[in-house]
Amino acid sequence: MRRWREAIFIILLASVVIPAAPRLAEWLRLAWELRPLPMAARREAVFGDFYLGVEALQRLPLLKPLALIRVSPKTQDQLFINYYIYPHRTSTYWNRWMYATSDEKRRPETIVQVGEGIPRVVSYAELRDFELRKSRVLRKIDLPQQSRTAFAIPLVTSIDGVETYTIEGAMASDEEAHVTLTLQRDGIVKILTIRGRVAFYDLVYQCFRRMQFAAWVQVSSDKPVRAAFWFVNRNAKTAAPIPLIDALVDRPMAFPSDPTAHLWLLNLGESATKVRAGDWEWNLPPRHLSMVDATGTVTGHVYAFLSRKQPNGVTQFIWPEDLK
Amino acid sequence: MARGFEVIGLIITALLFPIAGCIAGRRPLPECFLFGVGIVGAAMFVLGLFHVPFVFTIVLVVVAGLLGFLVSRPPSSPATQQPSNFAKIAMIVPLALLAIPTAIVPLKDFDGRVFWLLKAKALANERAIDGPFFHNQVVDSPRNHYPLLIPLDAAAIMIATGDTDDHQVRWLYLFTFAALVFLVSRKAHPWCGAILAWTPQFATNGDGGALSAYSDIAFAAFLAAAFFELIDARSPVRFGMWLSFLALAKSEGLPIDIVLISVAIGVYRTRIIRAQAPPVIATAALIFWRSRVPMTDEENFLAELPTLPARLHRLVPAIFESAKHFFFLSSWGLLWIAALIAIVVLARRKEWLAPATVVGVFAVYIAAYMVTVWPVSDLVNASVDRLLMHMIGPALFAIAHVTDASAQNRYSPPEYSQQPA
Repeated sequence: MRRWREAIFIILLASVVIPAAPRLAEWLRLAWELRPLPMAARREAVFGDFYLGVEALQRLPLLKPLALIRVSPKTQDQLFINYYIYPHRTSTYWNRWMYATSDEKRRPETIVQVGEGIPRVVSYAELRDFELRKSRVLRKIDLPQQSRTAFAIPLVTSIDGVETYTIEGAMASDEEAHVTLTLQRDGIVKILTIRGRVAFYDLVYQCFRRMQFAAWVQVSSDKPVRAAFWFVNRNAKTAAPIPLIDALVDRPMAFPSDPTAHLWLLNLGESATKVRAGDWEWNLPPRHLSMVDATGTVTGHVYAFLSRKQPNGVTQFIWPEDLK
Repeated sequence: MARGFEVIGLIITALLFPIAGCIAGRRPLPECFLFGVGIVGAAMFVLGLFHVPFVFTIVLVVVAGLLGFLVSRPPSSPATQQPSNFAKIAMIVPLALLAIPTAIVPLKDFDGRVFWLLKAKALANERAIDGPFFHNQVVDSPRNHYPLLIPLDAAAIMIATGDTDDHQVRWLYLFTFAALVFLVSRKAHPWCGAILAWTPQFATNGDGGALSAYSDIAFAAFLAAAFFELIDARSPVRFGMWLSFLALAKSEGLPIDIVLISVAIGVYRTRIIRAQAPPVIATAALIFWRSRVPMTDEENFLAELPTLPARLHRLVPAIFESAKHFFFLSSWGLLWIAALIAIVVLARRKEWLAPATVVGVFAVYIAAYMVTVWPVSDLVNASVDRLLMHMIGPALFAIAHVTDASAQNRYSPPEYSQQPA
């Protein structure tokens, strides 16, 4: 009797030893590999780049609270960051919008990007760019046949308000073209070398590394390029085409008077110019883009256009080219 | 030391808990260790409600433990079968081997770092159970209402070592596992200790095993200790103490206490009253503490309980999904298959203690799976192996009892013998 009972125990023991032994050997192999290293290096070896990022966060001054903002809905990295950098104060935000819409006075200024790679301190603009570059609203961009060596994009933006606005588009050249883009009116220059096609998911941030409410871009190239750009509302997933300007419109522009719309006045020139809209008159500084109330017909040496946000999120533009 | 092999944590763990565990008198070392784990955490928690400094509580418990050791007599434990050399070696080898990764490999499990030891760090740093951390003023505290017994033990080690890095507390989890192994070896059967020492879910599983920092092994040890107290049927007060540790170790401790008390009524009869005070104090303390700190992201099973009648259709899937794990040979070998057979055999013999405990505890988990807001299979797959760990003491006892007739005489369970006066 005793023998068969012992046999049962030995069978049971074998049934647990067989699956446990290889895993125990794996633990021991790992321990042997890590044995010569100090603890921090062991963690780097086990957790990889994630722990390198954590170590950089550990070096931040304790007094500065951190905003842990997730860039991936599946990541749990914020939990491990909290574990390793405790007692550093942190606030976790499930996404960028939670941070963007939180109380500015209470939220931490220092942002840590969490998920999809090493945790790292970033600016809000960098975090936004990381998210935006992953997708586009425009699925397909058809470029016009017309080539140009100089033109202006009358309105560009890269901004988060209630919604995210960007400029999407593309430029193409069959030959190698050196294209100079100048963000006006600050005069920030970016030179691109284009051979073939270059696409933009957020023209302003991609080229000038800044978020900007409203500006315009002057483009010049040593070779003709074909280009097209759209004003994009990322949240509503809508895109409105933006005309490229070669010259001013030398005639009165009969925009409607509309209290729900904005009238945009763009002085492309190097000197100030007088402009009239309805009963109002302004002196527009050189290379300046202004937004005013839509008070009626525009006259003056400017390029003007009207924008109106519709309830469905679409921004409707009326360009001078649209006016009869 | 320079290479990260921190012996201070090892020494403190090896001394603090066995000494504290002598508070209720001299017992075999594994029991003393487990009792120490329970009493240190429980005392820090209950006195922490009154803002008694942790250091004072730790010193108090250690002094009381030393006094308990000095004034009590060595235990007159029931005769136990001497383990065969082979069983002894089979038991010690995995524990010795596990000490190597414990000392060297960084902690890398999920719950241990994210929930339990983060709390331990906060407790050691803030020296309070209701400090800023528990009000989400430092970080967003996950699972804020989880009971704090094991994190308080870890915090005690951190305070004693002056270091909140997790490599100081790894020994707590390995030693708790070792204590459970030796407890089972002594109370059930030496071979059962060896089987437990090698069971992958306990020994090598990264989530919940001895190399992680989960609370499940400690919970399993407290449950096993409470169950063996029932088998011994000697001290309802000590049984009640184990119940209080269960209540303060994990949220499921409260319903499992009710199950164990229900089972214990058949053992202790009117003496069950003596077992009530510790779990009642622990439960009251837990409820009071929870009323003072906000709940965060934990699932409120108690609030979901009234939905149980409407979710009866989830009973069969919950049982089916859970039962599948009994046959996960990679985690359990043939252990649970043997345990189920043994439980059926005991039930047919009308020896109800182990079957009632296992079925009762299992029923608690099935009820949780029925009311959960998660898909049943998701929660089962994420948790049931750890819940099976909790029942390991009664399960191994059932195997030992069925396969070794002498166990019936050795342990004198109350079904078979006269109760002590």
